[in-house]
Parts: sequence; C-alpha cells; structure tokens
Amino acid sequence: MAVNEQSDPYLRSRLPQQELAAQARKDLGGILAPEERVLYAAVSDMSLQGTYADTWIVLTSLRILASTPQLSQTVQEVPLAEVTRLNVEHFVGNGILSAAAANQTVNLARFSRRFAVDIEKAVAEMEAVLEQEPVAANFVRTHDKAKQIQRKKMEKESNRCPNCGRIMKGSVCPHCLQKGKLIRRVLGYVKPYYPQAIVSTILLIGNGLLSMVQPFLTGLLVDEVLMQNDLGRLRAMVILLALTHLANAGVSGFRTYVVAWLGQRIIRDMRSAVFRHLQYLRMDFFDSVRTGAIMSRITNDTQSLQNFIVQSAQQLLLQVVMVFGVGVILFRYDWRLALMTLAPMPLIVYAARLFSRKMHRVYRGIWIRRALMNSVLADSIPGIQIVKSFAQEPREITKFEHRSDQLFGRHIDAAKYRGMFMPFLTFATSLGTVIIWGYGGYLVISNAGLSVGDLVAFLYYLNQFYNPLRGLSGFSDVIQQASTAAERVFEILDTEPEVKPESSEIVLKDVRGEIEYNDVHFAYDASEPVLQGINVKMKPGEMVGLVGSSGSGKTTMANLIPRLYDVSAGQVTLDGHDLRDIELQSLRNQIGVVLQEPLLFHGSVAENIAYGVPNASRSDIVWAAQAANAHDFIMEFSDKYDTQIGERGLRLSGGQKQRLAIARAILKNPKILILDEATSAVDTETEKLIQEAIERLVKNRTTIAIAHRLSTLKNADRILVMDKGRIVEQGTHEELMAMDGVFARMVKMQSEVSSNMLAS
Amino acid sequence: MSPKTYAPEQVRFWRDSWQQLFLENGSGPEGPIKVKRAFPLTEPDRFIVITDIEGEFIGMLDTCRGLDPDSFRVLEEELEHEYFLPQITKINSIKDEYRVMNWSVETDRGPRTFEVTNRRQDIRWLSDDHVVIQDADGNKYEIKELSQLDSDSQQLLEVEA
Repeated sequence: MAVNEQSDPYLRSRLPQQELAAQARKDLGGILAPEERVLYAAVSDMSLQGTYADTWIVLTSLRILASTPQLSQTVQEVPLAEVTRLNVEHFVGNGILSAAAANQTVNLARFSRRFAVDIEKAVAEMEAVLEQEPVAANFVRTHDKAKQIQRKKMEKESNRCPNCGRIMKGSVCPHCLQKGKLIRRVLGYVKPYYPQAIVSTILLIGNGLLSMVQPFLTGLLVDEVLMQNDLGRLRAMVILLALTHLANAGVSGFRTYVVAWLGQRIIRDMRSAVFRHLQYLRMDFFDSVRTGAIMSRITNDTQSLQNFIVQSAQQLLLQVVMVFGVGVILFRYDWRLALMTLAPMPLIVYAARLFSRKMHRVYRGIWIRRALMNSVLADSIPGIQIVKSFAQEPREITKFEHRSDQLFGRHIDAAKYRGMFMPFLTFATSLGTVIIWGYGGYLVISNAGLSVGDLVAFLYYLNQFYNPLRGLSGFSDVIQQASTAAERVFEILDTEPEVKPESSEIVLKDVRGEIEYNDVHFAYDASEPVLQGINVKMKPGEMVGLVGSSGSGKTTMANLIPRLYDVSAGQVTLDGHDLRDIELQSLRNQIGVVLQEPLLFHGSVAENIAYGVPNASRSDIVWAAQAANAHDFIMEFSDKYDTQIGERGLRLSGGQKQRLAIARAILKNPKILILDEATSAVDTETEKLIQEAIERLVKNRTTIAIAHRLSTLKNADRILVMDKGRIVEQGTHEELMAMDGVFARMVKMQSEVSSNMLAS
Repeated sequence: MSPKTYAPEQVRFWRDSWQQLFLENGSGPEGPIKVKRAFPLTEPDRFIVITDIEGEFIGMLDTCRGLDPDSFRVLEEELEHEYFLPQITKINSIKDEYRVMNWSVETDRGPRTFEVTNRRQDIRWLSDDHVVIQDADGNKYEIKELSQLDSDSQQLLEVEA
C-alpha cells in the first residue's frame, strides 16, 4: 500500500509496527541507504510546512528522520550518534516533534491533534529503542513521572474507538457495535414478559385479519345483496359487518392495554437498571457527562427504547402482515388490477423517503434555531440586572430579534416543503385509486370477469395496502433512532462501576485512623497534573490543616481518601492497607465529610441528619444536633425536627446548613473526618457556634481540614501548605509563622485584607 | 521587570539553532521567549503577547506591521505553530453518522476530513459570515467569509450545521 490520499493516515497508523516499518521502507526507498535498518516507524498527517500530507517519522540504524513523500523527498534528520533527546510540543490545532543534538534542535515533523496521542506513544517507544541502541550513545531518556501520567491520561481521554479509530460520542463505538446485537440486547428486556408479548402479537395479527375481512364483506354486500335487490340478506350482511367492526374494536382495545402494560413494565425495569448502575459509577463519569444528559438518558432514552420495543416492533409486524396479506388478496381478486396498483408504488415510496429526509433536516434546522433563540433568553433574563445596569437593553433586543427572524425563516421553509410534498403524496396515492376506477370500471362494463363488488372491495384493499407500505419505507429511521437511544442507555450500563468484585478485599472493622500518602500523583486530565509527589503521614486522631491557593490540590488530596478518585501513581494507605484493597463500603463507613456547600436532600431535618445512619434513634439525632449547635435553631422551626427542608422545603442559611452537615458527621461517628472550608461566609456569631461544634466533632478523629481562612486552623495539630500540587511547608501555626515563609505571608495578607475591609 | 509595549520598528525577532525564540529591543537580547496571539480569531495580526519560557508576561507587540522582513517571517512562523488555523475553502460534504458529523473539506492546507461531535459548542459563529469549527480532536478550522464560499458549501453549512 503506497502513501496516497485515499488511505486514511490515522487508520494506517494503527497497523502493527512490523507492517508500518515495511511500508516506510518502501515509501522512503530513495532516501534510506540499502544497509539502513528501520527500527521504528510512525505516521503523521502534516508536513513540516503545515500542509495536510502523510509524513513518515522513522528511526533507523543510522538516524532519526522525517519525510513527506508527497513534497518531493525533503528530509529532516538527526544522526543517531548525536541525538540527545526527543521533544513533543502541543499547540492549538497541531504539535511539533523535534530531536535535539548537542549543538542544535531539528524540527522533525508536525502533526494535527488527531495524532497527538499516537505521536506521544511513538516517542515513548522510540525512546525505549534508542536507549537500547549502542550507536545512540548521547541519548538520555527522560524519566519524567508527570510526563508519563500525562501520556496515560491522554490515551484514556481520547474519544476515538481503540478498535477502529473512529470518533465515538460516548464510551461505546457504534461502528464496532453490531446493530443486531444491540437490538437483541434491547429485546432481552422483553424476555421476562414473553407470554404478554406473544398475546399482544396474536392480538395484533387478529387486528390485521379482521380489517382484511371488511372489504371482502363489502364486496359481497354489493354483488350479492345490492345488485340482487335482496332485502332479507341485507340485514344479515349489515349485522355481520357491524360485528366484525365490533370485534376489531374489542381486539384493538385489549391489545392497547396489553401493549401499554408491557411497555411500561419494560421501561420500568430498564430505568431501574440504569439508575442502580449509575449509583455505583465512578466520579469521573459524572465529571465528564452533564447532569442533564444523564437524567435524559434515564427518562428520554429509555422512553424511546420503550417506543421501539412496543410500538415500532409491533407496527413493523403489522405492516408486514398487511402488505403481504393484502397483496395476495389483491392478486386473487384480479391480477391485472393488482399490477396496475403496484405501478405508482415506487414513486410513492421514493417520494415518501425523500420527503421524510428533507423534513428531518428542516426540523433539525428549526430545532437548532430555536435552541439559539432560547440561549439568548437564557442569557438575558437571568442576567437582566447586568443588562439594565449597563443599559444594554437595545442590544439584547436586537440579538433576540435576529434569532427570532432566523427561526421564522426556518418555519417558513418547513411550511414550503410540507406544502409541496404532502399534496404530492396524496395526489400520487389518489392517482392509484383513479387508475383503478378507470381500468376497473372498464373491466366491469366490458364484462371482463370483474364484478362491481370486486371493484369496491379492491378499492378498500388499496388503502390497506398503501398505508403500511408508506410506514415501512420510513422504518430504517425508526431503527436508527432506537439504536441511538439503546447505545446511550447501554453506555451507562457498560461503564465499569467503581467497585470491582475482588475476593482479596479487606473489610474494615476497627480503624485506628492512620493515613499515609506515599509519593502520590494525580491528574484529572492530561494537560494539568494536580498532585505531584505528595508524601505525608497522619497519626490517628491528628487534625491536619490544608492551606494553599485555589487549585493547589487541597480538595483533590482530601477526595482521594473516600476514593472519589483514585491516585494516578503512588498510593494512599489507611492503617497500612492500600485504599484500593479495602472494600469500598467499609472504607466509606469510616469517613465523615462536611463540605464547603453542604448538600441537603429533600426530606425532614431529622432524615437529613440521619442520612448516613438511617436507623439512628430519635434521641441520638437530637444529641448530635445539640453537639453541632444546631438544636436551638431547629427548635425555632414550626415543625422542629420534622420540618421539611431541601429543594421544595424550608430555605436554610449557609451557617444552618453547615451545622446540619456537622450534626450529620457527628451522628455517623466516623474515625476519619474531612472538613472542606467548613466556616466561610457566615457572621462572627455563627462562626463561633460552628467553630465550637467542629471542636467537638474533631475529637479523637483523624481530621483533614481544608480552609482558606487561616485563623480557623489555629487548633490544627499540623498545617500543610500546598502549592501547585506539592507540600511546600508544614508545621504548627506557630512554627510556620516563625518560619516566615509562604504561610506567614498568607496570614499577613489575609489580616491586611480584613483590616482594610474594616477601615473602609 | 514591568510589562512593556514593543514598537514593531524597533524590535527584532530571531531563532537560535535550538529553535528557541529571542527578541532584541535596543537593550540587548531577551529570551528565550514565547509568543501568543491575544485575539487569534478577531485580530490575528495584532496584540502579540510576549512571555518568558514559563509563560510569565513580558510585554506586548501591538502590531506585526512594520517589523523587518526577517523578524516578520520568524514571528509569523512561530505564531502559525502556536495557533494552527487552516482556512476552509470548500465544503465537500457533511454526513451525520451516529450523532457524529463527518466533514470533508478543502482547506488552504490541503484536503481534510474531520469529525464534529457537538454542534452547539463546536461550531462557533463569530458573526453571520465568520465561522470557526473545532473537531473532535481539538483541531480548529476557520471560514473567514462564508459568503465568499461557493453556494453548495454555504448551503451545506446552513442546512447541516
């Protein structure tokens, strides 16, 4: 395979190294010396000049070189004996790979971000090769831990399918996912309800058959009764017709019920399965997917799956039954007429498809413009105070009208298409009817073996034939929609939960509360390491304060303890056990958390205090509230401990929420406590109350307290000062002040700020 | 060192053999430095921010116009590395597959295919004529004047995006 524009360089870069090397050898035949061995080959998608062109990056036994075959045979190279190191730099939209020698740096190749991960990986592998090459005596491999973590993270973050290299919108690649398998998996949810499903299918076929009987009876009515002027049989026929209609109505009514039951039942199972799974997913998942999107998966996507399982699958079956059944009947009545009927069919099917595609686009256009218009609303209405104070009302009005106009335009487009296509479809279908009247009428009048009744029945059947046909033509879209929804639902179900069932897990019982960080590194995403080599040991019962500017890694350091996140490298231990070896439930039972912005659930005060210990006694709850200095304000509420709080209940002040959170932690009685900025934004009186509550709370617990207000850490046994993911100072308040370093500077700054505020 | 404003007539840029960027402003060489556009989309040729290698602000060059040709070339090259933004000259097709838009375009840097995953976030309209598209890997592409593209391209963008 030669380098050409047709072969996607990205897909090619995924070939096994041996094949790549062989290809490079072939493509670069004019450049490589005959004795030059290719040790490693990689591909990039950009030339050094910044054009899109396949470029080889090759490590040979003599040199490291890059060349873009499309752009003649220019070569960037550094002899192997001179290479000291390889550098990769990432920029907006591209990156540069360079090789350094003693007296120069040579830019080897550029690559678009699509290749960023691949190039990083290739560099790591080339470095490994270089290290083993005796010729590359000057090469020094950089064992940079942060760099390695970054590489690993970049790989993990890549949203390309590891299998086929295509972009995936979720964690499941729809291309590698077999659709049949997907649908089968969806149908798996029907399995427990096979009896009901079978009953509803039988009813459905019954519906089909009953509706097919009606035209036949009508034909009989015309030929045998009306044409024969037989009043006696007229009554019988009319009653029979009425009965079939009644039966049809009955069957369809019952079917509607069975189908609805089945559908609701399945959607219930699916919703629960998704929610149950969701509860045990890792924090990373919730960081990467918006809350709204997750909620939509539980409600909307399961709903559209239900629609597919129940409605569409049955519709499909009914339509197939009708098309074939009626088709056979049509031919049995009169094959000449039947052929005539089929004549406009391709036109109808084609037009229907065209129309639905076109409309799909137009509606999507409308949807997008509406979203754009809404975003103007969402900006300007909550921000109305800013708009007014900057006197920008006219600008907001212009912005809105612009979007509103666009939406209007799209709606008019939609009306135009509807106006064109719908009448055309109706006309095409009616044309079929007219043809039958014409040709059928001719056959009747010329006595060519067709009766008036046959003709009437035929016309009835015609409708029963065209409608399901139109439905079938749009069916691929329905399957498409369903598989997208299924994909989204299964994405959640396929995301690995945080607890891996391992037999060797330690279940904690009595905990001393000794915590140790051992060369801990952590990064949320590849570009920024958050923790870089944390080493610290906390004694049982010790209160350790964490201070540092925002983004210095304090909260992250604390979040590692309940394993909301796992370390990227190194380990955190509790009483000597690696946290990852401890059974998660038993670990978290030992940890109490009081957060910056305490979250209260919808429910009573008592339920909120007892959130971690649902079976706590009433008196324990009151004692906990007492200890947290929360009891007094709770008793001021009209319903006391039974007062409804949370989203739809009583609004609490920040200080009240914090004391409830403290009460919650006291009641849980954990060995380890995490306080995140427990005293912020409250008045001095409340702060005193909170401070008191905290003093009671931290007694005999290993406590990690994160604070911006340094004065709140006076009681801490030890304070760790963090900066850019490292511990830069540690000691007691007094020791740190005496040290006159970062901490002392921070304290000075804070007291200045507060005295300035008092002065003004 | 307090931040300064550099006058294009007085400042000189060059690179050493280690590909490091330096500048000279009448008072001896400064560097190695880094350069970045402050307004890469709306004012790409003006307000060039100059920092040291750690990213600490040193100063700003208000405009590239007036630099000597060598400095101009070096600076342009650096900026082009730092913010690679190909211009889309024609849209061949935009196809939707599993909620991912597959674009096939012609750019001033050659033909390119890329994927866009989020219409609302990744297709940014700076005005009704100026569009910046970000692909799933984080690469960016620009259409400075949509009205100058052929009508097929315009319609594709209008309808699909």
